[in-house]
Amino acid sequence: MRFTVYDLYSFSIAIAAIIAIVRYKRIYPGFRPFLFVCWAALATETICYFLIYQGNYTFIPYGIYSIVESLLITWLFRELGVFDRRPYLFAPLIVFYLLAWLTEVIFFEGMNRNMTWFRLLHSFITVLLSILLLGKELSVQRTFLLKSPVFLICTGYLLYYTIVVIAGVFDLYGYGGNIAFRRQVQGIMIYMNLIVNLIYAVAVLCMPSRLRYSLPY
Amino acid sequence: MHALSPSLFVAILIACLIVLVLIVFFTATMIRYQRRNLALYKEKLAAEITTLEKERTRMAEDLHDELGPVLVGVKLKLNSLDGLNKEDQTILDNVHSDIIGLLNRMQDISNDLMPVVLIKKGLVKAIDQAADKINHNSGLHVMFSSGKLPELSQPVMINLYRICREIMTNTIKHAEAKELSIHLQRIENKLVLVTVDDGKGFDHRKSSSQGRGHGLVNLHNRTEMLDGELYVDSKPGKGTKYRIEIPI
Repeated sequence: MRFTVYDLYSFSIAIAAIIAIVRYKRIYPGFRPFLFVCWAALATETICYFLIYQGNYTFIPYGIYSIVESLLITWLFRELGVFDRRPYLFAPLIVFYLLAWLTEVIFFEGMNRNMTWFRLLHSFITVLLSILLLGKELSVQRTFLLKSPVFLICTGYLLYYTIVVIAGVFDLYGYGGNIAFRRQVQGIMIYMNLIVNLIYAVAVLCMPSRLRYSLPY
Repeated sequence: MHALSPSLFVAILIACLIVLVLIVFFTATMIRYQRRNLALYKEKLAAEITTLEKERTRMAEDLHDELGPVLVGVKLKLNSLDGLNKEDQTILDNVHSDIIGLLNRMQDISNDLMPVVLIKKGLVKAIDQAADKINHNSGLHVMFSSGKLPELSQPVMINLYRICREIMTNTIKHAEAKELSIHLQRIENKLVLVTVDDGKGFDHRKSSSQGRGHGLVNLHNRTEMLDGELYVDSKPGKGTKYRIEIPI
């Protein structure tokens, strides 16, 4: 089995995942969904790495990961107070994700190809929720923003999922049949993945054991 | 299509890069504005609290230095009256006891506005005295302890005292607690105040998002004024714990 530089980039989530294991007990419980996302991502990358080198498709692990990731991220947003003013929105959003995922699996052969529609939907909603949380964070955060795990996570989500949405739209149109273009977009995705994984690692390092009580100014 | 494809995908890739650059620019702008707003907010908060404390000190001094002597003078003049009949003497006694009550109440108000013991004997004695008063006058039992403290500036002493009083008042008013323990100590380069009560607790995130909890807002603002950090650990039915860390 070969381990290419692209594999290395994909496995960069391991940095955040390992820091999360080391610091787990010293991290405020509200951040745990994010730690679970890191571990789920690392597990998925590992499974996919072996599947690829055995010549198998990776649709199933990525398909399962996409629903797990969307649920965990929504849980994280709830823990960080996105739904504080409208708590009744949380459960419908979870149900909506589950229904959307099942619809793609059952009616659009979601396990035999990329779950483009679901990824697109989940990424778009994640970008919106990240903007909401960033706005809140700006008004309550008293320390330097680049040391705030919430700010780092939201910035990471904003960068990565915006690209995922754009790439998802291209994917829906089959990249106009242009393989070179597809490779370019995938190349951007790989580098973006590396950048946000490093941002996530810093975010996990900055996670406090207690969350400071702060009011908007 | 294929002849146009290379230029098309370069154009789309450039568009993606522009989106990224815009996001990065947006983020950098947010960071800059957050720092600027934070500095302005702290200045405003400091001005508000300083003005409030100045007003309190002035009012306490006016009560103590101007109204107090006048009332004492009236009391002495009443004492000097003689040759009164029984009915007048009863009225005089009533007025006399009213004036004593008024003087005591005035002293309490003056003390609440700016405790003399805080200025003369320091923070620990002042909190101790406030705790004693609550132990005598309410159903709450306050236990106060402290470690060895460094010399504190007057703003730090006043704000920490107000924070303790606010916690005591909140506990009496809302917590339905039987016991409140307050511990103040120095840990490394921080002054750490920890209070724990056995009351009914509350969901602080919920009350903050619903715009309630002025007591908590006061605690928060005074902590901010001292560049400190406030941690609230409370759940319905599980009491309330406050931890306030002030850099020294």
